[in-house]
Amino acid sequence: MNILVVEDRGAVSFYLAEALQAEGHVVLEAYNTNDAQAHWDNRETTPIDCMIVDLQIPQDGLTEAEKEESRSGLLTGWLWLRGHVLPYVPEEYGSRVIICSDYLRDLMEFVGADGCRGIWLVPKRSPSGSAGEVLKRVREISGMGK
Amino acid sequence: MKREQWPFRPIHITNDGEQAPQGALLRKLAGPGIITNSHLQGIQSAICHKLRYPTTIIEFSPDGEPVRTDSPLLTFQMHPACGRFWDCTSSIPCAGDQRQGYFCKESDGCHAQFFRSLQAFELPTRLPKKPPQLGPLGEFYPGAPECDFGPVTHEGGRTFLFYDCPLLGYREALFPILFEDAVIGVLFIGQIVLEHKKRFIEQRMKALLSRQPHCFDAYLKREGRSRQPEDILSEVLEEHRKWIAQPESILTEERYKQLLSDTCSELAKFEQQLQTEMHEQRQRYIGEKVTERIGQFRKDLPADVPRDGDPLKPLWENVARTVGGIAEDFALRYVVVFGVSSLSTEEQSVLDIVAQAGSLPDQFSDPQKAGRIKLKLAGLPAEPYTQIIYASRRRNRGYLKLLRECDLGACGDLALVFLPVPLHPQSSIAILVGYWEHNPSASRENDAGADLDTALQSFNSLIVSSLSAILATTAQRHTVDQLRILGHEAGQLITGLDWMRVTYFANPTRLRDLDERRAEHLCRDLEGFQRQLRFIFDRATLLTQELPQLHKDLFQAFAELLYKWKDIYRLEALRKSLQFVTGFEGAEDPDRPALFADRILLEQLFYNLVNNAVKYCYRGTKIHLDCRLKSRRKGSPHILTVTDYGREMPNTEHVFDLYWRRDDSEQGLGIGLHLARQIALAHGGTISHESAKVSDYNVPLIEPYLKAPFHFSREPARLHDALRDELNRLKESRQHNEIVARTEKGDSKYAPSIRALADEIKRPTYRVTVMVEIPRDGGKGK
Repeated sequence: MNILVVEDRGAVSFYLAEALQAEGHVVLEAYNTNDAQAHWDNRETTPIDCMIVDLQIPQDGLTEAEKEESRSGLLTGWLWLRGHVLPYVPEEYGSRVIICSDYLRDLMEFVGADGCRGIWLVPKRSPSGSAGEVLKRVREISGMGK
Repeated sequence: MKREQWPFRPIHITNDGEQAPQGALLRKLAGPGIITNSHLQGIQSAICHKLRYPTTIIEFSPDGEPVRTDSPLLTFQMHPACGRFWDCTSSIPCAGDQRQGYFCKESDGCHAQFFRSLQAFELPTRLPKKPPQLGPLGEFYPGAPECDFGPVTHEGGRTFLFYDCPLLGYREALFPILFEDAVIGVLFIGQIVLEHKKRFIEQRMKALLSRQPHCFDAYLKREGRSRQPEDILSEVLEEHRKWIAQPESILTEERYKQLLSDTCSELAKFEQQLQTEMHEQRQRYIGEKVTERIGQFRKDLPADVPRDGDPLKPLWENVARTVGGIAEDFALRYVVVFGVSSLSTEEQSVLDIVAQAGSLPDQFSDPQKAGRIKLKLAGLPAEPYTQIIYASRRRNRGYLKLLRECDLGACGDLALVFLPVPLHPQSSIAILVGYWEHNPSASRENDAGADLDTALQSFNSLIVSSLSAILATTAQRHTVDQLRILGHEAGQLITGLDWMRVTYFANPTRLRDLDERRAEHLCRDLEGFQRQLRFIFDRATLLTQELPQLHKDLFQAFAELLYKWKDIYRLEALRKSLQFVTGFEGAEDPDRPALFADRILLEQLFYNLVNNAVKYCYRGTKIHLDCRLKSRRKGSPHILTVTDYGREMPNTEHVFDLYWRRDDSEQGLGIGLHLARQIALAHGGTISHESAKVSDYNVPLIEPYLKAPFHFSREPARLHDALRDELNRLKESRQHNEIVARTEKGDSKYAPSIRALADEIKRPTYRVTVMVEIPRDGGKGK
């Protein structure tokens, strides 16, 4: 599976990528929304079967209006998904998106309970470790086929 | 010594999930993963389907009665001579469970015991005794010879054994089903052996009919016909002849060998599946329990800092309750938490026992001895996470040294010391975890990995929560939001650790197979995580209180402060394509003599500066670090400098004010530079900065932009010309080389995407240098 990982912290993304690669996936890494958009624009050549998105990432690539909306950058990842990804895919694609972040509460306040329906939300500081939860979801998505 | 059980080890393999010791929890977690006899029957069913051959399975619960399950065809096949009458035998006394046909505790139980002995390396090559005849069959065939067990056999890495039963004209292969080194069941694959004398069976049937005709009463009643025993016998024998005449009923030796081989491979798959399910179940269990405990911990935290008494007291009481619960949930032998017992304590470099739970060793349970046990922070090694790895392998001398230094002595079955950070005492916690040395079901090879994995998961949460709680307890109100962001930074690192755990520690095979270079990277990254965590917590502590009294000593500032930053930020440097330039030429460099200062605070100061630089520099740039004498004159101060290339830092003194930020969209806290100034001032020094534009463009992007003109054909030509001129100017003035990070081969480290080129090329690049001047004697004082 080709997995897009949108994460700016090297301390997180490095071992995240290693874990996914160890499971046989191809990891497309993005440091900010610019990188993410570049991979997304290229999806006809390299389809993106799953994406793992952090919410707080550098705002490069967002419009000024989106930057205003981003709540001091806390919701950058969501704004990119909302504006540049979700409108261009069928609704069920949402089930292939995992948001892994510390700011899920801010997201829920911002979009409401229905706003991100179908998207898998994983808190970064989950007591049992967010990595296991993300991997589990990736395996489920992998089982869904392409 | 009583052996405690780990959750979801074979004790929970039960015929009935309700009977499990933690039945309520198991029900709550109902779903795949709890091994019940339905799992084993599922295995049996799947194997029968795969092999297209009937089997029998016996499930052995450690505490409960074994249960035998036959696949539907088996009864007839196994007892071709009397199978038709099997239902009639319920009146015959039987040693085992008759619901499933028959079960003989003595003989069938013997099978599992045999394999368990093998597993325990007691190495019997034959069963210790021949079991008596199989329950009711003994009644059918009084005086028949006993079954004869064959030698232990190995096939496909699996141990199993045969036994021949001439009485039944039958031979069986017995396969143990293993789960975490325990035999949880035995699978039987049987084969009719023609040489085992059909005549013998006929004789026995005749004898039975003459001596015990009541055995057939139920059969006759059910059939509703009046039959003579002789007729029944001839009918049975006729059936038997027909049955053995069917080519698929009697296996050839070749087919039987193939069956055994297939069984081995199928069983291996199912065992792996069981392991996977149990692993998932454990994760859920850990998640549930830790979430529950930590949730309660947070809920019980006092909302306000008590004005009277010691504010830490209620915190530690809460911690004690939490660790007590966790020790119980995870069947740990004991947990001892070291921390600062009082904010007013003067002995700041020592941690007392502040909470404990479980069955404590003498050192802790004896009040007199326990009172003397303190953790001396100064004596602790600086690589706690690395210690965990080695400690769990029990081969590390440093670990034993650590125990001695902590006055812990020989703690017997102590298996792990978890030391988050030797910090400033008020934000320190060390947790000592004791496991049962003979974990009954942990696999020999993997126990370190599994236990470490579990411990890291559960205690990371507690540590983060406890540290947050300490910080919250000591924080002033206006710092709450800032601490939340600090908590986020710590959370990022914990998440990184978690991915490292999943990738390596949860997979001992991969950890073992690491090559030397990769293992070295792993250790460095662990150290990097640990140091960054330490500095984050230090920063939070410093934020909420006056700077502590300085403890100055002489140390090699450049070597000790600068050189290691490459490793600490290795991962960020990889992802952001950065390059650290230290220009370090050796500890004896006369421009960089030793410095007399507070090592911990100065390190914190330097961390704040480097952290700022990493955060605000552009991708693909260099960060220059240096520490040298301002001049060669006697008494000249030291100058620490950190230079990055990226966003502008306004040339105003306000940048060192508390909570100063350029705009709200910044990720920073506005405290790093403030603390740096406080530390510099405490040493009698000064801090300043310079910010100068070096280019109107994002310098690391200029070359890649010019090399990709096709993509930007709509851009005005003058931009290309301007960029080319700019590149030439930067190269001529050697600034380009000073700014752009390079690989060892000399190529640019950063390969930007087309979008990044288009979007970011027009951002101006600033050179931002922060300078800290510190007197050679570190200011007044000792």
